[in-house]
This record gives sequence, C-alpha cells and structure tokens, in this order.
Amino acid sequence: MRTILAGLEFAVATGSVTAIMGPSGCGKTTLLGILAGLDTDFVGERHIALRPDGRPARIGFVFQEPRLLPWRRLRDNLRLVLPEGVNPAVVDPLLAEVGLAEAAELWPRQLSLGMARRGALARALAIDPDLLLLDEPFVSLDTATAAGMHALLLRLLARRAGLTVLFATHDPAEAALLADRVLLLGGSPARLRADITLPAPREARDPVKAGAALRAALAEAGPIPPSPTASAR
Amino acid sequence: MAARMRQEALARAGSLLLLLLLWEVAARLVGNPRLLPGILAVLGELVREIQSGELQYHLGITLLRVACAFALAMLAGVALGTALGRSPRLDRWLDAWVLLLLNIPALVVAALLYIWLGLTEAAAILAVALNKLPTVVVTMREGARALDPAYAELARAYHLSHARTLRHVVVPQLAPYTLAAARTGLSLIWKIVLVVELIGRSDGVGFRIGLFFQLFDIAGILAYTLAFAAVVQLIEWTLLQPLERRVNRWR
Repeated sequence: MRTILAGLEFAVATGSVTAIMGPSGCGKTTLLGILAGLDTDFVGERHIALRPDGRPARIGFVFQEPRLLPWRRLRDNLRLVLPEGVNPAVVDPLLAEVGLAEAAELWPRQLSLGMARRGALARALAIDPDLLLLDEPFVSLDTATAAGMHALLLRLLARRAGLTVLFATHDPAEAALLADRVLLLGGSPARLRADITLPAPREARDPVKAGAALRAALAEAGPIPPSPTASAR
Repeated sequence: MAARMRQEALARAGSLLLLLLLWEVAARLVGNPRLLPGILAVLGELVREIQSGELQYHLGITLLRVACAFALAMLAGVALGTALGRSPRLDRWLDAWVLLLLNIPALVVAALLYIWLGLTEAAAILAVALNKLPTVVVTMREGARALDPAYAELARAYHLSHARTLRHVVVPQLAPYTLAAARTGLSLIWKIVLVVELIGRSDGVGFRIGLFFQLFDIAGILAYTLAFAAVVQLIEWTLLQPLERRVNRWR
C-alpha cells in the first residue's frame, strides 16, 4: 500500500475547464478515477453538485486509451452507454459533431487513433454529462491531429456552457489553450504544488503568449522533486 | 476473395477424393472384402441400411443423445468454468475435482452410472455429459481469467446495468472460448457416445456397431462410420463455421 495523493483540497466552478498537470505517475489518473467514482479506496470527501432536476450529476469519462469495445460498431459503442429510455438516435448528431458520421458503421479496429479518440469523446458526451473527465485525451497523437482535437474540444465546449471539465495533461501549451485554470500536482505522495488561474476568456487568449506565461508560472512553483516511482522507471 | 474460396473448396474436395482413392487401392491390395471392403461394397451396405430405415433410426437416436449431452455439458460447464475463473477461492476448492474428472476414463464414468442409475437413457446422457464437462470448465475458466479489467472499469464508469455489462462486455470476450469449448467438446462427445451406447443401450450407432463387430461385418461398420462422418461435416459447415465467422467478424 502506497499513498499516492495527500492533502489535496480544491473546488472547481460549474462550467469551468481545469487542467491537471504533473509528472508522469504522480497520480493524475488516480485523481480522475476518484472524481469519477471508479476508485473508492481513498480517505476524504468528494462532492459533486446535483443536476438542476435534483438528480445526481452525470460523469463522462474519456480514458487515456480510447477503450471502445472492439466487438461493437462505433455507433453501437455510443448507444451502449445511453441511460435507459433515451432515444438511440441521439448518437448520430454527436458522431457528426466529432466528424465521424461516415464511420458510424465501422469496427473500432478500423479507426485511426485520432478517430477512436474522437469516438471516445463522443461516447462521453452521449450521456449528456455535467462533468467531463479526460485522462490525457490527446497523448501520442501527431501535432496536426492533436491540434485538430484541440479545436474540436473548444468547439464542443462552446456549445455546452454548463459542462464542467477536468483533464489531465503534461503539455503546458495544451493547458494554456484549453483550460481556465491549472492545478499542478507533484511530489510523492503528490500534493497540490500550484493553482494557476489563466487569463480568461479562452477564445480571446493568444495561445503562444498564454503558453509562455503558464510555463513561467509553472517554473515559479519550483522544481518538482522527482517522485520515486517516476525515477525508478 | 471468391477465387481463393473456390481454391480452398477444391483443395478440400481433392483431399477427400485422395482419401477415398487410398482406401480403394488398399482394399484391392488386401484383396479380401471381408477384411477391408472397397468403396462400392460399403456404399451398397449404406444404401441397404437406409432403405431398411435402420440407419436413420439409430443415427437419429445417437444424434438426440449427442444434442442432450452437449447442451447439458455446455450449460453446466460455461456456468461453472466462468465462476471458477472469476473466483480464485472457489477455484482452489474445486480445481482438484475438475482435474480428477478430466482424467477419469470415459468407460469408468459410463460403467459406474449404468450400475448406479440402471441401463437408462438418463445414465447414458449423463455419462457423456460428465465426460465432456471438465474440458468445457477448463476452457471457460481460461476465458473468464482473461476478461479485461479495463472494460469492466468502462462498464462501471458508465453505470451499465448488469444485464448490459453481461451482454455487451462479458459475453463477447467469452465467445471465442465458448466456441472453442463447443468444438473440442463436440468432437469428444462423438467419440464417447458410441462407447456408452455399446455397453448399455439397445439402440443408437454404438449399439449397431457392436452388433456388426460380433458378426465381423466390416462393411457395416464402415457404412455407419461414413454416415457419421458426413453428419459431423454437415454440422461443422452449417453451424460451427458460420457461428465462428459471426463471432469473429470484428477482428
């Protein structure tokens, strides 16, 4: 038994986008798992605001690897997660929104990584989430594909005002482009080392300047002591 | 694609023809129709058995026993094997039993059941099913152990109901193992059912072959073997292979 996270306390506003940064293996995935309710082996409290209709919030999760069921066609992968009673036709406009209308009948094996990632994103949106958790959703994509995904996510967020997003990333440029706020984790067990609010709004931001400013702010938070697991690898 | 399939069909037909040819040559070399009859003699015997209705009757009864034993062993084996694969504790308790059953000769199971239950249909079907059960259990246990926890996590993240998780997440992962269990199980059942019929039933292909054996009627034995092989091939082509293609179409 190893303690991964410690003394972590933060709140994010409804409708905000928060980037979680920190070295690999520092506990970003664990934190998202706890927030999603997947990891219950923790001491502490997690509060997620109820929906306006008083029901528990819906949480969409995008795993680091797309994790589509390979034995179900893309469209069926989306339909599968719909709550009971929701018209299965709602997935088609979503697939169109992420540019996969033509791929609806394909098997996941036939999709490129970028397409599968977009499919996983559409699946998370299919449940009409209040909270969207993304675990390094753009990692190991080539620059052009990643840029396309960033633009896509910005478009999707612009159309969903009340959607709260937390995403893990190790790329300051990505965080500066997409987030309102950056939480920097570090150490072992990981603690909150910096809480940086980016100049809003996202649309008006100069991504190059914001990236440089974020890098400077992250550097100011001090050199991150290497976590034993990361250095052991 | 079509050309390759035609080539494959040709190769299959060719290999079958070659086998028949070898048989005929061997029969001529032996030169004793009582010891190894030629193809025509066996086919004649086959036609006679069909005309008298004997073949359909005995083959039908054997197929019915195969179907019952197969269904019984698959149902119990899939359930038990999956349970053992999911629960290491249960597996520790029952592993030795499975191993024991796996290694008990088919004849021992059949003899014991016939003594305990009488020379009944239930004893015969149970004997066949019990012989097949452990191989199904072992295969399904492997399958259940290989279930990917990443997909289980996905099911939890999206709050899929038990029924949906079973149908869309668990069953597709177990399907190749179930199919493998069905295939090896079926070939095992063909072999066992005749022995069980031979020692304890007064109908079925096994009984009939026992009769031919006492009369040294090799043409009769081969005629039934031929009919049996044809049925097995038919099941393979019309049931198992299409099912396999359907299960594997996403690959």
